[in-house]
Amino acid sequence: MANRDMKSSSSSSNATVSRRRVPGIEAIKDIDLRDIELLRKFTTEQGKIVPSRLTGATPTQQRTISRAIRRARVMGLLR
Amino acid sequence: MNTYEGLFIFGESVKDDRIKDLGAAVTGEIQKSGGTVLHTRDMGRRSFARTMQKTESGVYLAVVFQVAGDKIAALNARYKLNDEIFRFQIAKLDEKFVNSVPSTAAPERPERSDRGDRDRGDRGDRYQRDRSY
Repeated sequence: MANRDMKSSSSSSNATVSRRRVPGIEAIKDIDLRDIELLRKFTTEQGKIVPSRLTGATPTQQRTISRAIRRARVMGLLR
Repeated sequence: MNTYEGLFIFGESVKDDRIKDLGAAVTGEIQKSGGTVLHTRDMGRRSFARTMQKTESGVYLAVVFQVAGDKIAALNARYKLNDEIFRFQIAKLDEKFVNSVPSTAAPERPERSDRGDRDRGDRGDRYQRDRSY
């Protein structure tokens, strides 16, 4: 029970923190997503797609990026 | 008419003098379907990021073209019949990139042996230091 209280208090404190999106890749609409070097920046060393909470991409941007990465993988351009 | 980008990989056994003919065959199919080829870019021989079907490399060709949407299925079927095409992918292209040449054609870095030796300078007393252990 005490544990649950702790959890609820911590989640309420988190709710007060504003989750403002950092516009890290604001200019991506002008960047060509066929650019493999650019796509490589959104993958880890193991080839995994970096989540949007780390890149600051909006949901639309994240969908575009991940689609481009998956296509590039099929064509052997990315791991 | 929609704009599409096709990326074609020819098998690694394809000779360099055949690549032009194969490129002409690819663009010829588009023109036969009533489409127009806007840009073609030979990306050259590239090694794959991972082994695909026990193959390590292939010759890449990117083609930007306009064709009616209902012709794409027939184009896909015809390219599948071509044994010299190792793999291909046709994707709809965003209108803002229509006039740009496919940029996936970034030149591949030369092999380590072709880049030449770099001067790493004096290594200091590392050898002596390591010997002391």
